[in-house]
Amino acid sequence: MSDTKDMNAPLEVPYTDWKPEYLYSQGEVSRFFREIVDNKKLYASRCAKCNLTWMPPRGHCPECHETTEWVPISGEGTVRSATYCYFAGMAGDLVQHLGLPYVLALIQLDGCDTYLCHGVKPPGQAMGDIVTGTRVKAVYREERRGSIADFYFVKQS
Amino acid sequence: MTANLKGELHMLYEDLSALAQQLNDNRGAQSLMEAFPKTIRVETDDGSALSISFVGGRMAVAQGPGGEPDIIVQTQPLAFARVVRGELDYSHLMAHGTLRVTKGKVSDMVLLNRILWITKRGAAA
Amino acid sequence: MRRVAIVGTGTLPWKSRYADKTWRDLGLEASKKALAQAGITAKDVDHVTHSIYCETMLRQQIPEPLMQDYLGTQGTSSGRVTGGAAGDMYALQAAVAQIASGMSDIVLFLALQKGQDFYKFDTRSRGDGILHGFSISMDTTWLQPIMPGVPPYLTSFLLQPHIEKFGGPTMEQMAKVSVKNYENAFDNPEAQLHRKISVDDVLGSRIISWPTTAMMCCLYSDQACAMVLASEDKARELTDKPIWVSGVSTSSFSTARATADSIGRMHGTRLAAQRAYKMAGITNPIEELDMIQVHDLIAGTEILAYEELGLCELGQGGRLVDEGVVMRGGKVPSNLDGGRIACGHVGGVSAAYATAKIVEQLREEAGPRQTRLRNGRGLVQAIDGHGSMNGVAILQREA
Repeated sequence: MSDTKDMNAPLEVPYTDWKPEYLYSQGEVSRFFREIVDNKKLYASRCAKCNLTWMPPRGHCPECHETTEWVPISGEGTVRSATYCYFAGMAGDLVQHLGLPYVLALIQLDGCDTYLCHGVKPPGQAMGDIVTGTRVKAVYREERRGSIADFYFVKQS
Repeated sequence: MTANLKGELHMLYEDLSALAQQLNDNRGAQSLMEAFPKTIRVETDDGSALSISFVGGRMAVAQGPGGEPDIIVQTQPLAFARVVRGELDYSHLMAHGTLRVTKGKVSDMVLLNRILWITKRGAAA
Repeated sequence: MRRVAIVGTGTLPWKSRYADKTWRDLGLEASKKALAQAGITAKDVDHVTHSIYCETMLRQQIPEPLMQDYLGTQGTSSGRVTGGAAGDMYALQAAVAQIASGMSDIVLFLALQKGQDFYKFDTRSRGDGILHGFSISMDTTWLQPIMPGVPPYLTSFLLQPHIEKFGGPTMEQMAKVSVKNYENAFDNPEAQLHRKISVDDVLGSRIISWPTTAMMCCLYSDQACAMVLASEDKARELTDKPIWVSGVSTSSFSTARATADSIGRMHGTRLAAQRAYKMAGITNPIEELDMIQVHDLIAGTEILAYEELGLCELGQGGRLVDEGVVMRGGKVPSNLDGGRIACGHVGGVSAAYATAKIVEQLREEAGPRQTRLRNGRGLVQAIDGHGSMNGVAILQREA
C-alpha cells in the first residue's frame, strides 16, 4: 500500500536473446545418419580386430582404436530394459513427437553387441506391452534430418 | 451398476465444483489456468459425463457432456476422485488401465493434474 | 603424498531459488563463511579449485575468472573442475592433489551453481525451464533428442535391470528411502524442505518413469558451498579439529557401451570406492564407517549405492532400509542431511555440501543431528545423471 518502491528489491529480467543456431557435422558417424535419411536403413559399426559390433556406432573402436567398418542390420531387436514414462520434463524431439506415455528402453538390435537407448511407442496407455524380452522394430519418421530422433521403435506384431 | 456410477459421477462433480471455488480464488492457480484454456470431458463406462473448462483463468464444472471438448478422459469416477483429492496422481490410473485419454494429448493430463493439486502441495512437478 | 585436511567449511541454506543473489553473490557468501571458520582471509589462499558444473544454467560461459574477481584472489593459481553432477568429487580430488603434491598449502574449494534462473514462458514454469535448459547436458547426438529426462535414464539403465537381475529394491523400500530423507531434512535447518511424508504419499506421486515416482526424485536448487583445505603443517596451525581427506577417487564408466554385464550396475561407484578405500586403509566398510552421504538422484540410486559401496551384497540394499541400518540411529546412517530428495540438489555442489556436513558430524558440531561416532569416519559418494561419472571420498577425524 506504500508509495515508496523498494529500490533494493531483486530485479528480475526476462532474457530470451540467446538462441544458438548450429549447422553441425556428424563427422565419422555421418554414414549412419545418411542411411537413415536417404534409405531408411540402420547400420552398425563393427571392429574386425575385437569382433565387436557397436551400437550406437562409432568410427573407431573404443577398445583398440582401429577403424570400424559399417554393417547393415535389420532394425529389429529385443528389449533388455524398459520403463514407462508419464512425465517428460526434458522432452527431447522424439518425446514431443510421440507424446506420453513414452517408453524409454535399452534395445539389443539383432547383430549388435551393445544396447541402444531409444524410445518405443507403446500400443496402449497402460503399462505391460513393452517389457524385457519384447521384440521391437525400427520405424522411420516422414521427415528425417540426420538425427537419432529420425526413427523410433514399435512392438513387432 | 448404472445407478452407482451416476451417483459416483455426481460426487465427483461436487468435489470438482468445490475445488473450482478454491482455485478461482488462488493467484498461483489463476496463472496456471490462464495458460491452459481447455475443456476436458470426463466420461464413465456407461456414457455419463461431466465437463471441466478453463476460460480466462477460471475453472468451471458442468454436469453432462458439454460442447466439443479439447480432451476426453475415460475413467472411473471413484478413481478420478482420488486424483482430485490429491491422493493419487493421474499417471497411476493410466498405468494400470483405469484411465484413458481418448481425445487430446496425454501431456495435457500433466498440466491438468498440476492445476488440480496447486493448492494442496504447493507447485507440483 | 602429504596429508590433506579440511579446516573450514561454509554452507548456505538450500533454496529452490535465491531471487536476491546472483551466482557470484552465492559463491562469495559461502567462501566468506569457510574462510572465517578457518580463521584466514582470501589473501592466505594459494589456489582456488572451482567446482562449477553447468554454464548454460549460469547464463555465463567461463565463469571462474569472474568468480576469482569477486573473491579478490588476484593472481592465485586456480582451476575449474567439472564432472556433471559428480563434479564436486572430481574437484575435491583435484584440490586434494594440489596439496598432497606439495604444489599448494592452502586451497579454497568453492562449489557453486544456480539452477533456477531458467524459466519457460509458455507454461510459466521454472521447473520446465530448467529441464529444457540443461537438457544438452545429456549426449546431444545419441540421447538428448530421444530423452524424456534424467530419472528415466537412470531408471532404464540402472534401476530396472538391477531389479530384474537381483530382485530388489522394491517400490516400498525406495519409498522408505524418500521418507527417511524427508525426516532427516526436517531437522536440518539448511534443508530446502521441512515436511513429513508417508510411504503412501511417495507411492501415490506421479510416475515419472516406472517404478520411479516424483517423490523419489531429487529436488533442484541454487546453492554454493566452500571449504578450506590445508596441508598438515598449516592445518595444525589453524585448527585443533582437522578432518583428513584420507581417501578420494573418481571413475568415469561409460553407460553408452551397455551390455548385459554393465546394465543394472554402478561400476564407476564400485571402482572409485575401491580406490578410495585402499587409500584410507578400509577393508570392511560397514564396520569401519560411521555414516555415508550418497547421491539419491532417485531413491533407487541411493539403494544401489549401498551395494556398490560394499555395505552389503548386490540386491540386498533394500534390506539395509528395512532393517534400519541406514536410518538415523542405525549402524551406518545414510544422508543425514536429508539427501538430494529433501535437502536439495544441484550438480557440482551437492556432494561438496554432503562433505561439509560430514565434517560437521566428525567434529561433533552437528547439534541435535549429531550421530554416534564409533570410528570417526564418513564417506561421500556422487554419481551423475548419465550414471557414468562417479566419485567417492573418505573423511577421517584424528584418532
